[in-house]
Amino acid sequence: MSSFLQVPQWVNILGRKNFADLLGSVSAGNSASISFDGLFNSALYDNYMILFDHIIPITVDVSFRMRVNIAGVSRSDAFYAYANSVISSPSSSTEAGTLDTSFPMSTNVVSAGNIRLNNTASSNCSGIVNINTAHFTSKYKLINWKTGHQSNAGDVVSESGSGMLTASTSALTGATFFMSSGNISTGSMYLYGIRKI
Amino acid sequence: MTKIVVGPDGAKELPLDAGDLAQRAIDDARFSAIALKTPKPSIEKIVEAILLGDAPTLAALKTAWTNWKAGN
Repeated sequence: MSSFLQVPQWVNILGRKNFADLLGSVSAGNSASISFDGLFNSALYDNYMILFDHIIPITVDVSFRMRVNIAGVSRSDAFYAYANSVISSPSSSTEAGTLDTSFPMSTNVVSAGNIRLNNTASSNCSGIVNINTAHFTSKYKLINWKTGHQSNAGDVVSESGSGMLTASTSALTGATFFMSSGNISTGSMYLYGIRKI
Repeated sequence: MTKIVVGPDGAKELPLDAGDLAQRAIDDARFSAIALKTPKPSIEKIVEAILLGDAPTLAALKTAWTNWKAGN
């Protein structure tokens, strides 16, 4: 998508190339899931960035999750390997999986003081996800995320994780986000392509 | 119940199909099972109960520890 000053899209008025292009954006509204698909472009980008802003679940005490899309299909294979560092004021923990069915954008760990998502307007989840080398077909695609939210117990929780779907090295076509239970109430999501040329 | 798919034609709100509903049921069951797991009791609290000779607390922590081991 380009603004009226960007002709062509990737050259700004001073003749400089943009670092990244906004490929799509959306706002949730009691949505079961949000997917970006078919917007990747191997001629222009290898890496992509997804920002999510003030994501709030319908249901209290849940985890915001992500799956990768291959050939337009959100993969739910039990081969999501990841490591996620969770830091919160009452308790810190790590979360790791090798056979999970999705990545945790916010933790699902049960610990002293509930650190999963609250569903009040002030307890939002925001963050950034990097999808690396999405088009390569001989490598697992590394997904890196840095997110934060205010927990069910009212504490700030910071998370930082990395993971990959080890079931396939096929090129990715997108990503799908959902809650571990219930719908996404509100919030915005943005997909950017990071220019390689 | 709907899902949002953002593609080359913009954002579309679509009804969940049978596959979506089946996957959602699987996800609900999976995460509910995780949520029901008993948290690991605090090692600090166990040590403290031992040092203070707090038998009731120690008994409760022993039960919590047994439940946590069973759930993991």
